[in-house]
Parts: sequence; structure tokens; C-alpha cells
Amino acid sequence: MSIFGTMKTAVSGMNAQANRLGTVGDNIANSSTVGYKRSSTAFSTLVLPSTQGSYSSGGVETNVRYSIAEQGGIQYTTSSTDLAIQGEGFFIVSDPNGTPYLTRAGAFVKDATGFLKNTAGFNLMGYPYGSNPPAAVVNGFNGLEEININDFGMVSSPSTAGSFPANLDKGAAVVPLANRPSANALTGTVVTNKSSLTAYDHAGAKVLYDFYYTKATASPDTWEVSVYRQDQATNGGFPYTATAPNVLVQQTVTLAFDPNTNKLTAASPKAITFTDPNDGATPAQSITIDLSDMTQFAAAFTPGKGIIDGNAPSPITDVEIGGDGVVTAVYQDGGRRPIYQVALATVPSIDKLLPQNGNAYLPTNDSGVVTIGFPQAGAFGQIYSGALESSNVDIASELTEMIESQRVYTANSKVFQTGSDLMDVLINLKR
Amino acid sequence: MSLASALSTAQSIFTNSGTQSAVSAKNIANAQNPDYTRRSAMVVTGGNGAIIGDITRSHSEPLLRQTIASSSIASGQRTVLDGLQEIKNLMGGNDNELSPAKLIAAFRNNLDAFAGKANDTGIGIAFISSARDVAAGLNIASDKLQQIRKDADDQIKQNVTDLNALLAKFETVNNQVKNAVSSGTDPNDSLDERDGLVKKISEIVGVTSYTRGGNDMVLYTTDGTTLFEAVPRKVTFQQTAAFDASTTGSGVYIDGVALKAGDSGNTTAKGSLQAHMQIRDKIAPTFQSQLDEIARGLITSFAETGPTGALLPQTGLFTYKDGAGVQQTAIPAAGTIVPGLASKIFVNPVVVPPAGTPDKVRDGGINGAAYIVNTGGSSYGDLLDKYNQNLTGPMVFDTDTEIADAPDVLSFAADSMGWLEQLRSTATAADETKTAMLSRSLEAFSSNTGVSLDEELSLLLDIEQSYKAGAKLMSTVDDMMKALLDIAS
Repeated sequence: MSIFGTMKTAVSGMNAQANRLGTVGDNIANSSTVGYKRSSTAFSTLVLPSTQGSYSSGGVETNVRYSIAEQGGIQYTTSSTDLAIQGEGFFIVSDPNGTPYLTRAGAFVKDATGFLKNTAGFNLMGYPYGSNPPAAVVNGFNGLEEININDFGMVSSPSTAGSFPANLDKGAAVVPLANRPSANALTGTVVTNKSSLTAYDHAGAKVLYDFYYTKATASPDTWEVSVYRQDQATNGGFPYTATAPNVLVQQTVTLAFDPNTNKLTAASPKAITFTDPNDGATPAQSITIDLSDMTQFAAAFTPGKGIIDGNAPSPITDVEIGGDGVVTAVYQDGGRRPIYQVALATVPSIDKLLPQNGNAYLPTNDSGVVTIGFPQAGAFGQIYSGALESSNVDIASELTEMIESQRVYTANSKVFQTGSDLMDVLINLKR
Repeated sequence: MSLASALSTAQSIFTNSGTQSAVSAKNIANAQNPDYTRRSAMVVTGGNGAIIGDITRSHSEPLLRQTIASSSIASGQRTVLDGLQEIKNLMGGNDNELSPAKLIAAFRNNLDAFAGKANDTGIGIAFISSARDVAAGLNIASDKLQQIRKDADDQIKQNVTDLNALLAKFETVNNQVKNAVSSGTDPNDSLDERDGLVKKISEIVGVTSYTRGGNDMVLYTTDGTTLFEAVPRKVTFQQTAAFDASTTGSGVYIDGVALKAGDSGNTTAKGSLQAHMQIRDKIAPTFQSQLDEIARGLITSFAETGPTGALLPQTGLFTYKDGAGVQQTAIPAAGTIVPGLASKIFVNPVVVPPAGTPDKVRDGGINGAAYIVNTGGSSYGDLLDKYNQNLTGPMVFDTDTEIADAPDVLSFAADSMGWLEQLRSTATAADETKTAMLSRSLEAFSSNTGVSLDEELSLLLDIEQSYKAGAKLMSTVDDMMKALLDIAS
């Protein structure tokens, strides 16, 4: 019996080495696969009951292990939608049936319909970004959407606030009330200084507003700031008019300057707020321009850096993914808007995940339940945009293992052959 | 670190060297481009090895600002000087032989000769001929001066068209910059182009620039008018079809605000636009008013007042037409400019041979028998002497001519040339200073931001060394892999 047993043991040894060679072959084949995690074999003994003086050889059992938790090297690429994770997180992707998977293969490319698809055909998922940053659903895939960057073709945001600093010439001539721009008179208007700012209405159209600065009184030092909508001007000048249903946009504030500091006094208005209902939106667009940095020195009118918010409708030209996973749409005119946040998932025992086709993994009972969160939080790690995680296979160690496995296989076959030879001898005892 | 990661490190060396040499090659290719700012590729540690973190531009905001300011000042001064040079060319060559002063001097010599030999018809004819030279000289100078104003007006139109085109282009390039900055791509080419456009704009009109968030640039004129902010502001100008002395050219409006013309020989104009306006609205009209006053002085000096001087003064040798082309006999009011008189002055046809005779100047009576002064005979030149004295007699001129303190018409004509030469010499001196300042700031700008070939070439050697090191690393790893595979076979 024991010779047969030995032969069977040798076969199980050969099988084990064949498994080992299989993992080596897989590793070498996938050594350039993005996000591939190497597999390896671990063996354990299979012991048969033996009695005193008699040994029954057992066998060897193969366990395949995956080094999923082991970080691969980060390689930089030139595509901004190539993503790599450094840490314990996984991208959450879905197959065409909508089943969620985990993966580290981050070579995403925008497909014809706007989804970010990786090499294996899985779509990247994330939480949509509303007006506030999204919150992750910690223990499930609820609320996740496939990220689609075509849905955000055109957006615009109306202007609400801005600022305009300038120096107004202390020596400017005082203009009588009737001749000031605030009078909006057909004739006799004296324009001391003027500037204009571009704002955006609810439809995203650019609207120019004219700002007039006129010295009102010299003692105390006061200046009138009047604002008008430029397209309501008559031949580019006064008066500004509007015919119904359009409404004339007109607002004036009087700034008071402190002669000691040449800045606005504490009591002076610090901003000009005007409403422009002409785009038809409800409530009407209200824009506040901060004038608190106005100065009045005896120097020529010097406008500073005028700023106003809002942006015009323009198509997405690019998508940017930050280290925190926020997907930002970059519009043609340079505007930016966060549209999604990429979520990462992890499990307590990463190496126990179940590998699937296309470098994807599924959670199992052994791996524990999935927790979902955002990059740069907890152990999820950080996302690198424009980089890929290479496979964690080391060719040198794979080759070493291959040679070792070849030798052990040969040794097992020798055991089998010896057993076979012994059987020959045994059978030849009887002729 | 496995062998594979060593390989990818070597690969990153190749990528970096490639980018660095591309940047260096671009620098070398643009060594002669004045609008190009040198770039350098910054290497930072990352991933396996190193990556090019950023391609930075050796940009200097203060030097650019200085260059822009001096380029608009120099361009304004150059334009004013060119305009003055053109006006000066109307007066002939170095000796100003076509100037009213020179023509009047020649005319006066002939008057002297005629007065001395009043019965010599030949001298009389020569005298009339020189009088016609004076009138023609004034006519031509006046007409050409208005042509210069018209040319300046055309130039303003051209400048405004160019400015609008430049601003439209500026919007495109500015959007490219904003886009590149926000999408994290390389904005340097667009930045160079934008700075180049600002330089071009500053030659037309003086600008100050500010950079807002996202590298969005805002341009104001030096007067503080908004020129570009997200969108270009409208620059409008109405061209005038034809100019005469009483025509006022229309203004240039930027964002609805009128642009001021430059002032004085060392001009305050920033950019060619203000300088052209100065030529059109200040220098040429003042010179025109001087020509008009010379014409008025001549008409007044040769007015006929009859034998006792009590008759209503009427135009004599020199007369003029009104707007409808009808010859006038009334003497223009003293001390007041008659716009365009210089283009309308001419010699009375009744004294021009062969139809007329110079004797009528000698004897009087151009305006009829009542005005005959000399009845004694053809040898008496007393009236001619009187006219001669009138030329140096006291006369009041309009203060708008800027040289109204001249005592008589002869000195006025000479002062007019002096005024022009003075303006031209101031402008020439200022032009030299401002051009020197521009070339100094251009030099400073280019030595700071331009490409130095030797620097680039030495950098290329460094890149070559690191590339070779990378190749060496790769061949070593390859050898090691080969050794391993040899064992396995």
C-alpha cells in the first residue's frame, strides 16, 4: 500500500508545483497590467494516519493567495483621467449590468456617451456634487452614480458680488447736482471718471455695467458712485433709458472719505447694490460691488483690480480630478465647477477579496463588509491624477520561483519514478 | 525596489530628458523672438523617480510694465515728431525756402525795387509775380496742412480699427490663458502671445494691466478708462471726410469716455492715437491759424484807403474769396483769425498782367477811381513806400496763434517759423530721450526674460549626461534580467 501511497503523494506534489507554476505564469503574463495584484501559492500538509512502524505518506494542499494589499508603483502618464491610488482604497466601478466592483485599475478614458471607462470596460462611480459637497453612504453602494461628464455640457452662474478698488483724485472738480451722472440728464452731464465691469445674468449673457465716479462735495469729501447698464445708454452716453418691459437699472451711493486716512469713513456706505430684473429671473438678479478699498489721494484716477463673480455658459473642455477625488469640469472660458466626487471603498481584509475578470474584485465573507469614503480620509489613501498604478509583480522573484518550482516538480517526478521502479521489482518477483 | 521599478525609473529619466530638451530646443528656436520668454522645466521627485512638475517662464512683471509704459510714451513722441517733420517739409528744405517768411522777404525786396524804380514795368511785373508766389505759398501750405490733418484723421481711424482688432484677439488669447491655467495645461505660449499683444496695444494707447484670479488680465488706459475686462470695450471713432480750417475732427471714445489729445512738443501723448489727435487738433490748427493771420496781415497791409486815407478800407493787392468763391473787398476784422483765409488769399486779377497792370498797385484805384492816390505820374512810388511801411507797422494778432506778441506781419511770419522749429526741436530732443529709454527697457527686459544661447547649450550638455546615465541604468537592468533568464533556460 505504501508504495502506491508514495506515488500518490508524488502526484499531489507535482500538482501543487503545477499550480505554483500557474500563478507564476499568470503573474508574468500580467506584469504590465495596470492595477494587477500578484498571486502566489502557499502549501499545507495533508497527513494520513500512521501507526508505529508504518508510515503512510500524505500529500500537499495548495492555497492560492493574492497580494492585493501590496502597493504597486506609481507611474506618471499624460492623461488627466488616468488615476492611481496610494493607500488602501479601491475605485468603485460598475459593469454594463450595473453590478458594482472594486478595482485599482485606473486607466479611465471618456467614452462616446461621457462615461469614464477603464481598460476592462468598467465605468467609474462617484457621488454627484450638488451645491454642497456630497456625503458618503458608509456601508453600501447606495447613492453612487456612474460618473458622466457629458451631462454637464452647459452651465452658467449669474453674478452676485464683486469688488472694485480705485483711487479717486482728491483734486477733482466738484460737479453740481444737475450735472452729475446720477441726474441721468440728456445734456450737461459731466463725466469725471468712468469704468465698467462685465457681469453675467441668469442666462449667462455678458452684461456690462457702467460705473461713474463724481466728486459731490469737497468739504466733507464725498463722491457719488452711479451705476447704469451699458446697453441702456443713448448712443453710448446719457440719458440711460429703457422701454417697457425692460427696466432702467440705476443706482447711486455717496461715499464719504476721511481726510486723515484718505479712506472711507466708518459711516460711509462700503458697497453699491443694484438689481437688474431685465433677464426675467425671479427673484431679480442683485449684484453687490464692494467699494470698501476706495481711496482718495491727490493722484490721478487709478482703477485697481476689478473683480466680479459668475460665469458664461460654455462647454466643458476638460475634466480634472483632484487628490481628494473631486471631479471638476473646466469650461471653455476658464470657469470651473465640481461635478462629482470619486468615492473609494475598502474592506477589513483586503487580501481576501475575490478576483474577477478585468482586475476587479468582489467582497466576500472572508474579506468583511465594504466601507465607503472619500480619498484623503482615513485609510482610503490619495488619488493621483495623470498616473497609473503598475502591477506589483517582480519579474526577478517570479523567475526565481519558476526555477524553484521546476526543480521541485522534477524531484516529485523522481519520487514517482522510484515508486514505479519498485513496483516493477515487486511484480518481477513472480514469473 | 524591484528590477521592474528600476526600469520605470530609467524610463522617467528618458521622459524628463525628452521634455527638458524639447523646452530647451524651443528656447533656442525662439532666441531671436523678442516676445518670447525663456522657459525652464522644473523636475520634482514623484512616483518612481522624478517628474516634470512645471514648465516655468522667467517672467518679470515690473520689467514688462516698464517696457509697456516706455513703448507707449516713445510711440506717442515719435508720432508727434513725424507729424511736425511733415509740417516742416511743407516749408521746403533746410532753409525753409517755401515758408511764408522767406516768400514775404523776397516779395518785400521786389517791393523795394519797384518803389525805387516805379516806372519800370519789368520790375512791376516781377513784383506782382512775387506777390503771387506769396499767395500761392500760403494757399499750398494751408491746403497741405489740412491734408496732414486729414491724414492724421485717417491714421486715427486706422489705429482705432487696429486697436479693436487687437482687443478682439486679446480676448481670444486671454481666454486661452484662463483655460490653460484652469485646466492645468501649459499656458506659456498664450502668455507670450498675450504679452506681445499688450505691447502692440501700448503702442496705440497707453495701458496699465492687472491680473485677476485664473491669470485673467484686465487692461485700463493710462487715463483709467476700462479697455478690456472679460470682453473688449468698444473703441469708437467717426472719420471726417474732408478737412478745412474750420473743421473739427471727431473724438475717439473708449468705453464711452473721450480720449484726450496729447499736449506740447515734449508730448504728454501715450501711444500713437493721442499723438495723432494732437497733430490733428492742436499743432496743425495752431499753425493754420498762424498762416491765416499772415494772410490777414498781408491783406490789411495792402488795403486801399484812398488819397486822404479816409475812405472805407478795401482789399488791394491781396484779396480773398468767401466760401462761395466770390471775391471780397472788405478788410477782415483786426486781431481775429479768419479760419482758412490762407487758403483763400490771392492777388487781385486787376493788377496781374497781361489782363491787368502792376501800375494799379503803384497808383491806387484797384477799387475804383475814388481810390487813386498817385496822379503825379509813373515815377512816383510813394504809395508803394507806404505799403512797405505797413508791412513793418504795428498790427494786432489773435492770441490763439500762440505768437500774438509779434509786433508786425513780417516778424509774425518769422515767429511762426520759429514756433514750428522750437516745437520740432523740443520734440526731437524728447524723442531721443524716450527712444533711449525704450531701448534701455527693452534691453533690460530681454536680458532678463530672453534666451541666452550659451546658457541653453550648457543646459543641453547636462540633459545629455542625465540621458546617458538613464541609458546606462537601463542596460544594466537589462543585463541583470538576461542573467536571470539564462539561469531559467
